[in-house]
Amino acid sequence: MGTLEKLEALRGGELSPVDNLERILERVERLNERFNIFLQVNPRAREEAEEVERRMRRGEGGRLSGLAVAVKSNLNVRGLKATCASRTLEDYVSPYDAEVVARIRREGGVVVGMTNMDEFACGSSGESSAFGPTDNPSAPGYIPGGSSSGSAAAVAAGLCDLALGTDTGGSIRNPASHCGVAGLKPTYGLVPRHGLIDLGMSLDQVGPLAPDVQGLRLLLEVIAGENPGEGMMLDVKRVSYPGIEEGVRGMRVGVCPQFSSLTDPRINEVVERKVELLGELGARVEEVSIPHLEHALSAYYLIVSVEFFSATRRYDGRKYGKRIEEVCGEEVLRRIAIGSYISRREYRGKYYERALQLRALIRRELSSALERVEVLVGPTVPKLPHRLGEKLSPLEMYAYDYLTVPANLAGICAGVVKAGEVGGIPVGIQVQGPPLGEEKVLRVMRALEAEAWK
Amino acid sequence: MKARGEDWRREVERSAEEILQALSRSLEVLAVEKESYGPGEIHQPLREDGKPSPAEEREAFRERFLSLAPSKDEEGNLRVEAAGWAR
Repeated sequence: MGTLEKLEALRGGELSPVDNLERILERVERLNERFNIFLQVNPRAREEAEEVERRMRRGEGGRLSGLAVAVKSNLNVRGLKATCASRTLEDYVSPYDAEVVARIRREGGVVVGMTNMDEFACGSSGESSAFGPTDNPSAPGYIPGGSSSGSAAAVAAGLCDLALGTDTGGSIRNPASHCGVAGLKPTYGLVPRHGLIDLGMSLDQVGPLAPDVQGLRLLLEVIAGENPGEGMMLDVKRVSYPGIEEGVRGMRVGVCPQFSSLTDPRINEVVERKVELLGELGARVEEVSIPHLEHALSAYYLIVSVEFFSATRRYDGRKYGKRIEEVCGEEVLRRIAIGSYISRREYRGKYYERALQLRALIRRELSSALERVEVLVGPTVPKLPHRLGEKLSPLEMYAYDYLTVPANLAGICAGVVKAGEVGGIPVGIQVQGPPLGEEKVLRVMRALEAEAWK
Repeated sequence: MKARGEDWRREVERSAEEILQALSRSLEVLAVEKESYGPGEIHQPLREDGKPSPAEEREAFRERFLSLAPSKDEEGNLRVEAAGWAR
């Protein structure tokens, strides 16, 4: 059942919010230990579903009307643990709701629980959680991708209707691709970050994951829009995307050779078939160039390490949990060390400022490409996921992010929908759009999804 | 994970230095660009013409920001209140 069909069933009374939740909790009970998806199940979820049911009887069900939502563990949900999958915050119980969570509750969403993730979102495989890795429900034994590993896996395993993830360098799109679900990183500044525990403040965006594109649209319309008092937000009151079923006829769709030249040929084959399909559906496909794409990864890791180093200085063991350097895992410590080196006075101008210049260059090249075409389509992750536990060097692991970090550096929007499979492993196609171009991105994703469902 | 001794820590820190060197090689091949700190300097999606905000508008930002700040010290720095830790 698609998201809109389920919503209709909830609104029509064929399915109650409590029954919906019970079915999901039964699956959680059965599958969570096997896949390690939730770090905490909401003990008040049933009460919350009952409350939504009462509200619906009064005609106040809201746009989500009892849909069950999983939340990544770096977002504050009152009364639940926002651990960031780290020993540093393992005892931290949120005293308030992040703005996105408050909006979900207002619209009748029920929080199922807090999902597993890479520790402090530092990872692209879902393996660096202090509470053990998440397995991939769509390709068991393989990594689910990260860092929103649990949120993507929860959607793939049917342990929620919708999920919240965060994307700093691909953390929604990468696991969406590996788990065969839909995910979207919104334009920077479109969705409130209040209540999000930072990885890189100039790059982080909260976004939706869903089993289908209409699910993404629904959750994004609920969480997006200005939050008075939050400085780094665009002046957009609320969003609405009624045109996503309009198809791609006449749309100018760009492909970029630099994206495919970095990618496994088996993935390219799957993606190219979808690009051809867009052409058959009436889109005008043309080639555009992003000449310095290969430098995006370096710029990203230098910038994110500095911002992460800065963000973690509050975890000194006095106020927020335990001292991070004493209990964190290897990747978190490595990024703190990189950020610390770059931040030293004697390195001023050598790394960080140069990385910002590179960021400006990538942003300019992407903006220029998106002036010629309406969206860019291409692969999401350059490699197929590895088997859980397989040892990769840090630089090999960082290479997973090659194709997703440019959107974060440029602050543009980008979504992922399943394009096909390679040897039973899902492969997602990435659609990138200009700032506030979410409707166009969703429109292309929906056209591809509709064809796949035929 | 390996035992979290000093050796482990030193090894992670050494790998951090190596990675930093590898990443920074990418920076050397490029000509120096104009510095940029925010998307508004390149593209302002909320302006109808899509052009960057004017330089004088950006320069006046700090002044306008502080004029709206609830509290500031004599040097013009924003004064903030530390939030209490709640468990």
